Amino acid sequence: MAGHAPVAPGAAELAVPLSIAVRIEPELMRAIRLEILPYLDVAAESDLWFSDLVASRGPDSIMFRTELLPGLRAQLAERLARSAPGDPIWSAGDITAGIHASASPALLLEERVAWLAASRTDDAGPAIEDELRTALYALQVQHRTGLADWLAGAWERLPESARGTKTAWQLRQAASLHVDMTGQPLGVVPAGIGVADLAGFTADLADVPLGVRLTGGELEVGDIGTPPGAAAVPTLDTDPRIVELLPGGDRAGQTIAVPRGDHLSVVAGPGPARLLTPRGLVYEVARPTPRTTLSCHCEAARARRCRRRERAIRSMKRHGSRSPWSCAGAPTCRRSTRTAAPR
Amino acid sequence: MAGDIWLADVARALADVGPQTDGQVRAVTRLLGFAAPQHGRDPDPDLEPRPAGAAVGESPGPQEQDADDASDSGAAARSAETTGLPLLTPVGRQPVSTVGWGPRSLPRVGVGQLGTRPAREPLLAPRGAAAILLAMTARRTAEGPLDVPAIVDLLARRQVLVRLPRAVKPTLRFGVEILVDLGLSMRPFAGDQAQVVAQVQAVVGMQRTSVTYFADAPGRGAGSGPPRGWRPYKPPERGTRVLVLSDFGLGGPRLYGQRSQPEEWRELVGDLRREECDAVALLPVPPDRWPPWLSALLPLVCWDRTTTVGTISSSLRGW
Repeated sequence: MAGHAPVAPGAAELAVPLSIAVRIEPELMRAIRLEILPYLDVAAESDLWFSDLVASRGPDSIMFRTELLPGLRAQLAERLARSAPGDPIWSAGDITAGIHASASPALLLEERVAWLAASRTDDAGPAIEDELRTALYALQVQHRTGLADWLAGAWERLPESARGTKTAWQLRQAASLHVDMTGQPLGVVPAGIGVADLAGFTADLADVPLGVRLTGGELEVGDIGTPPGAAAVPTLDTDPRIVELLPGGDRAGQTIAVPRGDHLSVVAGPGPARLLTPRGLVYEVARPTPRTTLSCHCEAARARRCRRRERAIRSMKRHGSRSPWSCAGAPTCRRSTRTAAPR
Repeated sequence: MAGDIWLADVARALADVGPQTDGQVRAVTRLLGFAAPQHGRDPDPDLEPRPAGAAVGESPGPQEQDADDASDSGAAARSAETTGLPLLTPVGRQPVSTVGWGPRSLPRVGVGQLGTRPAREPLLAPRGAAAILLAMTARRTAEGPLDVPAIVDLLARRQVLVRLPRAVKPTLRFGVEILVDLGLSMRPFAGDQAQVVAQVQAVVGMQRTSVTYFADAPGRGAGSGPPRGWRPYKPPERGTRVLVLSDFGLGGPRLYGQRSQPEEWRELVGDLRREECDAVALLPVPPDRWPPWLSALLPLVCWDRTTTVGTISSSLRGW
């Protein structure tokens, strides 16, 4: 709250259980005060309504400033943790749900997620994923694209523990098909995410080339520029880009998540690295060789190469050595790419 | 031809994949560096097949174009990633087990669900609200039965009874005017104001209750309709009880240019007294925040759960 007027103590206390709510109407404020904090007087409501905790103030409701939500919710989690199960603070989720029974299902979902994150700090993940999966289903299967707009607005308000789930990340990818999500900070890339989590998006998402390069036992992936030996693998346009490094030799398989516009290196060991993309395609990244490739696309180039070969063969015959080549004349395959021996 | 990939390769890939939709066909061809024109569109010269390195980065296919529309910064990042890199050719396929979207969906909005206001807990305790409002709006007049103890007392002192003393009795027959502050600082309590108006009308009767609205201070304009029809406030009929629902400028945002001033309230109360109209205020501000000028001006009742009929009696005593 640096740079802002101090908030009255009663208002600050009232804000804590209200921090799970998206919109705070006077009715919700009243219910929370009377049922959870009955020792606060009516001034707490007015003080909170006009405090600097508020980002937007409408005729019927207020919304807290997004950047203050993590702190308020941390206080709520702390208070819940030191309260007995029968303490009125444990009814904050039910009170909020009851007052908002007629609100949009998406807003209710957001509030349930916030409550789960605050009240079940240790094991909230699966429950949060279950909640978010309903929105994912509605967006991907039922094509209720209005949920994409909701997510674009709600992303920053969601607790970090919710944003860090795989389902939230999938929901973000699904929403990005309809709205611009690039303005919303990704934050934490969920652990354990893999190409299987993206397989459902292959029909909707376009491919983008992902730079790859195997050098010195390390696989560079992402925005690596154009160093010698670099190539590109098409993968889904997600943030982060996801490919899977398949196991090979002593190397275990692993998922590689490269933030958009960034790059990273993973230990790939000796030998080629095989990458699996969400479309199920396998690409092999080989170590660059110090050889120069010559393409034969025109008769003149082939003729020059044949003349060089002839000279090399004659030279070796003169010196009594065997020719490594058996010159069979001009190549018959137009696609072929021949390699020349190092000079 | 697109780099090392030929049309025959595209045919092989299509035969292997067995695409079911046009979108899948386009995806396969685009993946191999061939951009196929969309059905229903004129062939775009920019979408002609190109070498693989350029096809993906410089000339996005139809779906990529859509993605670009949705994500400008993504396009920037894409161009950075694709500069001049040759596209690798897939060496195989490996089935990827799709993670499902889940078994249930988010409920849809029900008919009549939106726009319904939630119920509001009243500021006054529900069980005592009617009695509190009755005590506040009733005018105390000496119109009750004969006050026998007072008569006996006077006669015992050998005083002449010029007028028969009668017991003081609250009455509502003079009617009530409710002054409702719609100013910004009272916005969180707008629903409470509506509740009190309805309760007073139920207690006093619709015929004897008038409601006048104002913003911040009645002297700036008041009326029973929308603000554009408001006129400077005039006191009601002589003897009418006036109930003021306002915070008297004690609440609201810190920087609030329309905040009412003490002089405006002093002027109002003076006008009411000249018309023998007793005013009483119900304000959502705890007593410890009442300034002396306001406490001295008119009887105040804190609009909160702590208020009881007993506290009303003590608040009105002496006025």
